Amino acid sequence: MNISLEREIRYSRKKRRSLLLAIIMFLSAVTLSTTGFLVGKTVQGIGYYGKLIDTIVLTPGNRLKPAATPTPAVSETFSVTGRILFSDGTPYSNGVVELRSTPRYTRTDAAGYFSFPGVEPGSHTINAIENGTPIASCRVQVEKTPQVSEAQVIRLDNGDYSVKISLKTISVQIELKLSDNDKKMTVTSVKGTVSTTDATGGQGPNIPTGNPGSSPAANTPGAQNRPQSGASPVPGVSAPFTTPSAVSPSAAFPPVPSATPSPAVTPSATPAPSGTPGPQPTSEQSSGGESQTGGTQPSTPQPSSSPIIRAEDNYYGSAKVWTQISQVDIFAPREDTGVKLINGEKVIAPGASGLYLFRLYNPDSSTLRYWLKLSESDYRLPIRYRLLSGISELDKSYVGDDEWKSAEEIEVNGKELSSGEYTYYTLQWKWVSQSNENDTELAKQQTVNYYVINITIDAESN
Amino acid sequence: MKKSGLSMKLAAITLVMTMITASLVSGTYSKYTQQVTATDTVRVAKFAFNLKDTGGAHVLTQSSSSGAIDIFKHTDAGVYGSGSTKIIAPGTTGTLNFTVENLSEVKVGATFVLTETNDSNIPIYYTLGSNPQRYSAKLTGTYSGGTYASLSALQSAMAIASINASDGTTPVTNTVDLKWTWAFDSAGTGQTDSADTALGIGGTATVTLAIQTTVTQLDA
Repeated sequence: MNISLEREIRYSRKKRRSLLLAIIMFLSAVTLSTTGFLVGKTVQGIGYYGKLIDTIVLTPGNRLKPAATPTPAVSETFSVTGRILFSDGTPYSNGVVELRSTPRYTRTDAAGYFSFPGVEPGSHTINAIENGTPIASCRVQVEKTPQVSEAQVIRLDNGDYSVKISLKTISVQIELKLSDNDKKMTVTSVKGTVSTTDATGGQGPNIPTGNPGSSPAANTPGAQNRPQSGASPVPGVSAPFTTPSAVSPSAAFPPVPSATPSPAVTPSATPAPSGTPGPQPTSEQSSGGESQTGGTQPSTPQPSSSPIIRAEDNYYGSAKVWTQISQVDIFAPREDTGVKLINGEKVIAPGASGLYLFRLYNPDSSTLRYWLKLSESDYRLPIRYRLLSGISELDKSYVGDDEWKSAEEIEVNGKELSSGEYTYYTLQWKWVSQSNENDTELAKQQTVNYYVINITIDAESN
Repeated sequence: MKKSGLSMKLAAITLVMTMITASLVSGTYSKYTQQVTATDTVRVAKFAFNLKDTGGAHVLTQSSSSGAIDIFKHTDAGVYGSGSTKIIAPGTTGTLNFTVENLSEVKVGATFVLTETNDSNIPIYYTLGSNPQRYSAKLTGTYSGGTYASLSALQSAMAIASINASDGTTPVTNTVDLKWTWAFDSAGTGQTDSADTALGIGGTATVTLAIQTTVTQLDA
């Protein structure tokens, strides 16, 4: 009997202990959820709500991240646009141009024009490249200085060029001539375009709109040779070449002084006019990171987001920044790609091939990690892809290997991108014919089908 | 009682450890993420063509495996009969205006394979447009102004190197004028009046010309 009672008491104690343990566990679960929530709220010191396991999706149109640092009064970067001509005056058309500081590449259009957005002051080498080899080069030292109102270029004894530009210069236009005899390019003229905004801001910057065919372009030297389509099907044509209405009215492309030691720089006699409101900045130009007019606020503030990564076109020099879903020209309608634009639709046929250059930029102060993947529509075409880390004409650094792959096989997993770092990718694509019969069947198209390719970048701050 | 106290202590330690771990874990997983997508859309260039005989009396499309066209027409002088029965005689001649209509959104070329079924050796020869060069499967040798060439040579001469792309709606056309003639001038080898007479007496000899056309996309 005693034994039975003792067992009952022991059982009862055990039961109570279990109950107590369950209560404690429940309380701990509640507590940890609360703690997790609170801790998440202060992750990275930014006042956003967090949860135990949290995902914060940054969407365009919402100011999610308050400006942590004051916007610099003067933009450091500027666009470089220009034209390369052979000595007989014929344009270096559809050629690869490299700007080597942080290496970046573009192509000239049929008239020899090219453009690089977001160029920093410093030493740069401009290379004209054919078949991956520089055929001519030119070294340019660019310095931003308050002593110059626009731009001034001097040829140095060593053959380099010293270009001094105003603090407010947002665009440098440069004309280059390819030498027949040596591997040299000579600068024949340089012109600067300045923002009409003073350093304190308040006035809308005179940034060209993203439409290369917009009316200001028509006033640009050589603009009559340039495509007027907003889609800018010709490589190398870009908005930065457009000259805003309030550009300092100096003569276009002033001649380069003859070879002399660097003389004292004197301010230009024609100060840049101000006060004329310019066109609104485009999304790419206002998206931070590489703003061409940092320090100036748009005259009509636009809601902006603070992306942790920025992805953008670079091939055409138009630097179209991707948003959550951006329509881009992966299949660029051009003669050399075999893609046509018919009634506003891009049309592709067997044998077509091309490439799409884009770059990723980390504007954040901390390293981020990103994932890249390709996806296709349910309607498939025999299009295969290769992804190069870099520029196709010059680099052979394939992601994975050089085999042509289906879209799903192309991916970059969790690669790190340091603060302020760019990384370039070239997506090569081609129609890989399996058989003429298959291709013909696709092209007979009893019903019209559309093939969609997506490049998705997922980024995550460290 | 002692055991209960130990349990409480264990539970308390567990609670504290869980809180610390949870705090760390939540801090680790709470990150900014962002997704951007670049997208592009294309459709396949349409590939379509029509083959038409003179006046478009017969139209074959890219889906047709075969079909009859009028190479020898009742409207040609000297061609008698009705329906599919076409009767020709020595000296009869006619022209086929063979049109390739490109409705494709790509540039195309066209090649032809000519097969003449002519067991009775009817002395037919062909010319292209205003070119006096004669081509024949049966006639050889020389004629006034030239030498007979083979049907193989005719195929090469007929080939259409390029027809421009269409907008998908309005066709871009190219027409081959193929003229046929029953030789009767005793030129070259293969035709004699006596042979022609024998064919006429028999009245059963037939000639059939098949034109196999291949339309090929030229550019991407």
